[in-house]
Amino acid sequence: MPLADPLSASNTRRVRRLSAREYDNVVRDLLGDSSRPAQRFIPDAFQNGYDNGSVGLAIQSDQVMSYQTAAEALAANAVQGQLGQLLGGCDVATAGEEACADAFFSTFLPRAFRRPATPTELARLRDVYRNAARLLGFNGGIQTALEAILQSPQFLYREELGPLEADSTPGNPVRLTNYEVASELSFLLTGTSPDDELWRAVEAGNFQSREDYRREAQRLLASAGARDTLRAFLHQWLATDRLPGLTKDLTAYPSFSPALAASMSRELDQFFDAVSWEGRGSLRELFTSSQSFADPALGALYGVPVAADGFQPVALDPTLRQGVLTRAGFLSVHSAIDSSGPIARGVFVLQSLLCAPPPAPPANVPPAVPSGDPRAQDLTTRERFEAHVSTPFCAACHQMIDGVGFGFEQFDGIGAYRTTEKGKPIDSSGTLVGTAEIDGPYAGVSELGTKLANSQQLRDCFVKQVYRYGMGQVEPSDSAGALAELASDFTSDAKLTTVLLDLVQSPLFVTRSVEPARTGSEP
Amino acid sequence: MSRLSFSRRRVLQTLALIPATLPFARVLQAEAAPPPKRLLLLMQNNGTQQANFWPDANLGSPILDCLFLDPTTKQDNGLKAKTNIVKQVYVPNDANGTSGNQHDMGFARMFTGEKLLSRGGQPWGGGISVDQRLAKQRVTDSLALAVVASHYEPSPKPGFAHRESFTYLGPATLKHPRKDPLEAFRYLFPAGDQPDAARRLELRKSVLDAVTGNLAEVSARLGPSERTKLDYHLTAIRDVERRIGAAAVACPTRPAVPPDYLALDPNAELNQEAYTPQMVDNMVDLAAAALTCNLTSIVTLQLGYCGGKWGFGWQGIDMNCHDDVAHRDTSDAGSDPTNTQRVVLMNQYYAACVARLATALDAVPEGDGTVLDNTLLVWANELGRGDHNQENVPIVLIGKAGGALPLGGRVIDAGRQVFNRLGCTILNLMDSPAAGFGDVPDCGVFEGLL
Repeated sequence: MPLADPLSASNTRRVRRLSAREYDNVVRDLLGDSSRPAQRFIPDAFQNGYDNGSVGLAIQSDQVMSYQTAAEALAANAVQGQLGQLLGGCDVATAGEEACADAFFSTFLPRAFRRPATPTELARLRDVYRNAARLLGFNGGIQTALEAILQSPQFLYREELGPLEADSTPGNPVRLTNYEVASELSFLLTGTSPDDELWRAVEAGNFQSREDYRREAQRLLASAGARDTLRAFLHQWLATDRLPGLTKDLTAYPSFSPALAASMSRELDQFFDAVSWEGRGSLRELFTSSQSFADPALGALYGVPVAADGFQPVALDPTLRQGVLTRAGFLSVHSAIDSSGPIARGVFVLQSLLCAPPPAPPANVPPAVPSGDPRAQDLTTRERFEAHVSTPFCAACHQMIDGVGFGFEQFDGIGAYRTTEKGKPIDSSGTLVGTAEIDGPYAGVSELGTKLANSQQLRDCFVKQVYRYGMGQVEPSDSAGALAELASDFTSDAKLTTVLLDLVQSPLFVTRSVEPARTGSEP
Repeated sequence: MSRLSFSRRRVLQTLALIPATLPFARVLQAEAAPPPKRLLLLMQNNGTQQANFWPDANLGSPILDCLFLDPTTKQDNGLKAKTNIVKQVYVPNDANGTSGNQHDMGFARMFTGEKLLSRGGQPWGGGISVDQRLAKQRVTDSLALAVVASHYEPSPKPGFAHRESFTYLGPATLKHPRKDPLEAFRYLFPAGDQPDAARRLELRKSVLDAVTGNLAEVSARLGPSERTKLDYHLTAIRDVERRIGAAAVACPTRPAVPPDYLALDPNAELNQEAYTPQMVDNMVDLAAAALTCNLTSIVTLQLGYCGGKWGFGWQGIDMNCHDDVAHRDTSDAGSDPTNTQRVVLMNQYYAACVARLATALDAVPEGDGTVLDNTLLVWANELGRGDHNQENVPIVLIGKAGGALPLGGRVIDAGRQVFNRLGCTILNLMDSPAAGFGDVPDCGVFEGLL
């Protein structure tokens, strides 16, 4: 799969800081610690639209202190409960302290750094161990060295640098080391460091070719970590990761509660899993399937009886509830606090599903009548926003935005189906304007889902989203050709994971360029 | 309305009654006495109510009365004589090709001075903000505080991460504010020294030394822009090293321990406004204590995020005050009376918060005057008026900046002035001479002020 210019969509040599999700996964796998300390870290910046964007993840003093606090607690717990594992099975009583310290540095340290440590790194950390052991004894020495390891950039950042001896001429392509590619692959697919099998493959020299990457990727895609990670990606793409903090006006939606939002989130977890791993795993299924899962509370919202507690598979009405755009979680996130949200829904479809964001609104936009305003008493949501399309100043953009958004009007602000609003029949006719190939009228969200499932623009946008997530950055402006070639065989009926497999085998996955020296002054 | 917890009398009483065991804190800064000039930036969103903000000849107005009059006695609280208000400040309507709107322009540009910068499709501040520039010069760490939880739109929604902070470490790189009062309290006032404190300190230093060495080793392999990222990290480690090595100092203005809001509600800092007024009071008191006890010389306080959507239930409003109130304030005179009154109530709250902060600084004697006399407190706004209007952005300067701003009690009206002059004025008042600020390198300071 040759690329027109792999480097146009590639990146310079860089380091990518672990996101909070990745940090928690890594310490879980490395130390067996599930305390999720990163939940108290400074929030990730989502500069690529996802939690793993490397660009905005600068570290400030608060974060250094958070890392320190987390490292001290993790190290204390690990030495208390997992010492044998840290020492690679070495028994201090029989082998002696020095031999077991050697075992710690030769077995644990490379896994923490995701590559063998350099001699100078090793010497620094051994100094920390020796100083602390003198004051606190062997366990204290290991604990303090572990604190240093967990605060070191080699642990906190994923390196994408290439070999030490690589040619550092600016602009030159550099191939990442096998350890670095293994990390990249593992974080992409499972959100954590390489597992034992991948690590052994790298150490044995069995992880060097595209075929090796494909083999390992397919193996990792069968793991539980891959389910968690693909789910996290889909939630972030569809912005349904906002469900845990979502609020609604309880006067407008008395049945809404954090528990209902949690049910909506869980339904999507199961729907994503079923589509990705048990069904055809395709975009078409994601946007058209009427199979889902519900507990009694969600069943009541969908008008589907669910007898027992807990989640059960349910078949939703295919004329109304085809695909993820009709799910309560998606509809609740993309609406106002006290009403449906045609603008938010329209903008989201254009921006995130079709990768064609509308222009930013101009200054002095005439405000729509608020839903709580007495003047809105007899107006439907559609009528409240109609000024947008009847005012020439606003019409150009809003025909495009509202045209999509109005088609969602059959669902209220928590995703319940409705046929009337303010005593008037619901008009859920929508129009797509300015898309590449699916322009035209549609009736209701199910039909919109079908249109999208047939859209090359959606497929291209999905590939772009996978690129943003995988590479941790928004695609450079000159990368269109390279992105078009990436996953050129991807169709609406192909598995979503096809794009991931294509990405890991493409040259841009393993190639970085040497950043040119800065010219001029600091911006 | 906020209550004032500091008064000069109370502080003097406290000082006289201090027992042998003082509440201790660790200084965040390296500077030695005499105390440096302090800088306090306070940022609000959504504009003011123009007709009810700009004062008469006695500096009276419905909004500013909440700044200058004691909330209980309605008597002059002494701040008026130390205040300068600059009129006709504007922010150019320039998105610089980003997706930013006027909220973003005011919020991200006010203290960076630079044009917006697109990163990942979002509009970020284009450079280091003035507080961080001064912190860098002074080799100190600033204290950044914010209260942002919003019932109407949890802070800030995905795709709007740039709206989380107005202070910037560098281009498109936010300084994230602390949002949890208890955590900020513990940061300023760590738990008492443990029996093995000296040994713990030595070990922490050895850990950070090794981390610094490891960081330098990676950094050496990176190109210039990637290296910048690790430079931030290195600077942050040095800030922490200084802090853990600093001596404990007494802090008589240490406030009471704030509640553990996250224990009360895990979403307290995200979408619950029930705690907002109390959290703001906590943050104001922590900001005042940090400055009066010289724990740092630079503090930023942010009330709401950029284009924030507080409901102001504590002011009797309880609606989306961004979309459904501020946006509807469509003329300087106001819109319908009910809406105008809501905008006034919102801004009276901000004024009361500033008053709480400024009077706390003014209550602590220092040299021939008070801490406020050695401080420049800047109260700024992202907009002039809530309907995205960028004219007449209210800029309020309180304090004498160590004598650099001796006059007060004035409204400076020297014609239309570009916002960049605010940053230039701050730099010059803080003894960091500059001819301009941000993208106007020769804008000079506010005309008519000095």
